[in-house]
Amino acid sequence: MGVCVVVLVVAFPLYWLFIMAFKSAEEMYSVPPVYWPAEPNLGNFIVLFSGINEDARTFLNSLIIATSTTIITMILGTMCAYSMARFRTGGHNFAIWIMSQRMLPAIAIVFPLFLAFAFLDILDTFPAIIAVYVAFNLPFAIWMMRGYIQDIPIELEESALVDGCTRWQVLYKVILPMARAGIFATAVFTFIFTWNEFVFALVLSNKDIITYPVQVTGYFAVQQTYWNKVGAMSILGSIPIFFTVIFLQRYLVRGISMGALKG
Amino acid sequence: MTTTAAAVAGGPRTGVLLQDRRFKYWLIAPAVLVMLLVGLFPILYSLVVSLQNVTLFDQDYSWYGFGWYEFLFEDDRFWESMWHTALITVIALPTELIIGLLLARMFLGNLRAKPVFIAIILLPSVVCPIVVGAVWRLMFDTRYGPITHFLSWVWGETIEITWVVDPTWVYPVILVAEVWQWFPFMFLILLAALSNVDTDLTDAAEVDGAGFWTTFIRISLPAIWPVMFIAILIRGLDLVRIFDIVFVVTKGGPGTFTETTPIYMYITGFHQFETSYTGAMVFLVIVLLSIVVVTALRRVEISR
Amino acid sequence: MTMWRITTAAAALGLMFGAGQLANAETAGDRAVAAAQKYSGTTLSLHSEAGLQALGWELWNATQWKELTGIVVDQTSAPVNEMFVTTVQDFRGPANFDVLDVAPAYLPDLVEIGAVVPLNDWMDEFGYWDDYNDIAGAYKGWGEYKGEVYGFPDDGDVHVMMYRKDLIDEDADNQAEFQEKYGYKLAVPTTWKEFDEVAQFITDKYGPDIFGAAQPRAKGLTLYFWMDMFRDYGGRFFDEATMDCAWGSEAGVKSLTDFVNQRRYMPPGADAWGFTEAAASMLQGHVAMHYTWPGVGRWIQNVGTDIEAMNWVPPSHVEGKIGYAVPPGGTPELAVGWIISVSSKSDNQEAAYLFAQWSNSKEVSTGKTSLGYSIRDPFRISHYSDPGFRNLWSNAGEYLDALKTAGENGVQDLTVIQAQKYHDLIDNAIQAAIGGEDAQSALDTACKQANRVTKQIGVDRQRDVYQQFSAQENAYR
Repeated sequence: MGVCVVVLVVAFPLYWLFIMAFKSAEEMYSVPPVYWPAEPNLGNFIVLFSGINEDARTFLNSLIIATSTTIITMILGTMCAYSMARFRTGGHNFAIWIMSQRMLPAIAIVFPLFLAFAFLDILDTFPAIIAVYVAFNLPFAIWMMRGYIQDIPIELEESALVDGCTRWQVLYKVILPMARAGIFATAVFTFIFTWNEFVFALVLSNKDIITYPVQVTGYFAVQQTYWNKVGAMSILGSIPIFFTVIFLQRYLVRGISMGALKG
Repeated sequence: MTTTAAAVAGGPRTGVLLQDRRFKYWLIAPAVLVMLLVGLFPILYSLVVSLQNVTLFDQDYSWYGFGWYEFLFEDDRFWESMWHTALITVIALPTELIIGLLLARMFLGNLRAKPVFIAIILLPSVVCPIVVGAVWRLMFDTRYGPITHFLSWVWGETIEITWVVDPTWVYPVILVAEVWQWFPFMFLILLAALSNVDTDLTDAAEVDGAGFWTTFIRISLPAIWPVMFIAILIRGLDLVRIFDIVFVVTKGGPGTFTETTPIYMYITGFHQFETSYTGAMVFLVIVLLSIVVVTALRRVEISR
Repeated sequence: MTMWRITTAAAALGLMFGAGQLANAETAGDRAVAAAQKYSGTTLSLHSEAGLQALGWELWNATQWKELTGIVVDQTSAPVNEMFVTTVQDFRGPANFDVLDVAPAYLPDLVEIGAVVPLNDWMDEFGYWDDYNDIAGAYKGWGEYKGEVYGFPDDGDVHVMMYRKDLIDEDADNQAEFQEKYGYKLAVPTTWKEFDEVAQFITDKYGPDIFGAAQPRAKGLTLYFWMDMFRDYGGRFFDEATMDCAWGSEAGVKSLTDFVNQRRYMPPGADAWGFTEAAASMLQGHVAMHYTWPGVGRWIQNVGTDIEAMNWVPPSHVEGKIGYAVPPGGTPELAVGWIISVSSKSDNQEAAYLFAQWSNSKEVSTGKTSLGYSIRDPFRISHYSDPGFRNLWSNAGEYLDALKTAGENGVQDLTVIQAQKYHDLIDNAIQAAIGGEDAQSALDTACKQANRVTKQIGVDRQRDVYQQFSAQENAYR
């Protein structure tokens, strides 16, 4: 079964990451490598939540940032997508401009933003970084949502209008429920991209809003490498998304399929 | 009301449009505002500062002319980094596409425990890219990593290749990590698209005697082309910006052998504080990318 | 909880040292504490290297300082490669930091952009010259630039050699075989040639269980292991008259080629190893020689590694079997190192200075540098002779002596304007050579780019600073 081989290849590195969190230092550097830690070492997970380090708080920061970004992006993005889908606002050029926003390497953009935020004294604050993430997730959200909305038969909106709904109510009562799967799929991807984003978080944070990827990278220091902390944090950082994906992958597939066709 | 009556009758929609010009602009306003503020400002700043002389020491904001662009054109390291980036993009993109495509095709039929398999296959795209780089770096460690161990066992003798330093193997390692992380993304999109291909068409083709491949290439692929194009575009743009994985696996090494443009930008901007020089680099890269992207997008948009 | 145990232990040690001093005359540390009382209740922001350095500051200095003066020390940290960057970013941006850990090689840059302030006046006012002069000669110049003191050397980074006495000195068979094969007595190597031969011998005889040596060779660290070799072979960084880059000279090519070829007796894969992997191989007994930063010398005796924060260090299997010496070539690199400085944009400059004085003072620094988990290393004349430290394990005295001699003969990292750029170029050249490129061509490419950098900075300006560096005793020996 070719599929089994593929799954194995895919899963093995994940397994390796998983056991990294449980290995002792000795096992990390053993020759030949250790495939199954002798005594699973839960210490790393406990250390994460106690005392001196702020690993636990970085998860909270990540959660706040990712959730806010997703909500705002979805709202703004759906609105914009609706306008483009139904009214062809801006035509081809607008659509192209939006997509082109996605091609800027974060590295290239982040330094001017850093300077601007420092000047405005909003560095290391939540609203600032959320604004940045929203701006960079909007292209994806808009393109996806445009496709989903185009899938929805326009008759439904028209009959709602006939029934006396305002334009905004049409959006709220008709589009939202119909595009539910698409909204869900797009929201999940937006959340994932934001949760895992590294460059902006690194530069635009100092200590108040340090996120989980930044914290994890901090453990790859030159004179010491806390591999098991990296492992433990990575597992914890991936768990919420793992489970979301596993339990809801059916919706994801359905959601993508409806939107992707129209792009 | 006349306009709605006209709309319901399936007549021209212009009435509806005209009446709601304000509405449609209000809808896009917030999004555009945010994107402009955050997206446009850095580009303008980079352009302006690239024409000044701002370095670590000199905060000289007066007009400096095109000196930095000249410097840029003579900078071998920059052009090599562009080449490295292009190399990775050009190899990784088709690989991810083909693997995603083949896998999606495999999953079309009835498979037991399909949801579980799909869920597992999607996981790599969900892990933080930095961590992905770290795991592959560890896995490829010559002494402490399982890959060398396994290959040595298969080969019969100890393999002594330093995967992450040896120039022959450094790119394959990066590509393996990159493809491993992102082919699931392609897989998901293509699976969805393929699921929607009208099976009547494919069945008819099979009845007519067309083989598996012919059906696939002549019918399924054209049907999913719009989707595939979007996927290629998104992944392509992401690859051009590649930073995390390369940085953790080889740090751009050995030397500058795998240094991609984003990494070089990181070094000049963040390690060396060459603000103006980085600005010039950024602006040039953006101009080049824009040309490519806009051309590609125009073709597709217009063909719709 | 371990945290609590550490804090109490730290406090106890602190009180011990402090109490010992109170019995005698007032110390520089005491003066600092007394003068700082009026700032009680304020907060100082300290910027240091992430990980163990930050931990040391937190557990040793910050807690005691708070108890003694009521001043809270808030920390931010960054990975070592980003320390310079984040310091400058803060200076140009929010300007939050008060106390800075600065790597000496980058001091010229920070002074030139005005990010740090001279400390001489405060040193006069609070009587710090005695303690300052107690700093070992090797490190004293670190904080000085153009005649002023900008920071206190606080971490005696110098490479020290660790070797397996049981395999080299004490094994009669090995002694006999080596004598026969190479014609001289098997002992810890003092020259590069001897290093090659001893290592090769071990690898030939014991490989693949035990190899001759293992060194960090990964990007970002290799330059610290080549720069001293380069100078041992007679190389100089620049031609002083023209400020032309001189890395591609015969000395450079030969030393780089030899450096690359060291891999032949190292464990496979050593080319990709960083600090931890190389140290791990020594700690686990897989190699016979290893020279690196001093902290490993304490861990290899399992000193101070039994706390949570150190659980990533593999336990040492070779405790008690280790000898210490000056690395081959006799002029080890004074690699990286840290000085404590005061930010020019700080709102609490005097308080920041007092914290620096206290932390750096004899008593407080002795306590800190002997902690296992603190990777601050001895840097004071008094450290080397401190009885508590010398008795920390059976041959701690040998360790301290080796460090002392190493320091006295050590060579400093290249310290010029925009040193970071030149360091990067050197590092890339070494890496390219490791990757298989011809040494001459790798160095020539690096030199070509280095000359562009020098031109950009201004040849005369750079020459000024370079001459200041090369006039130092520890620039070229």
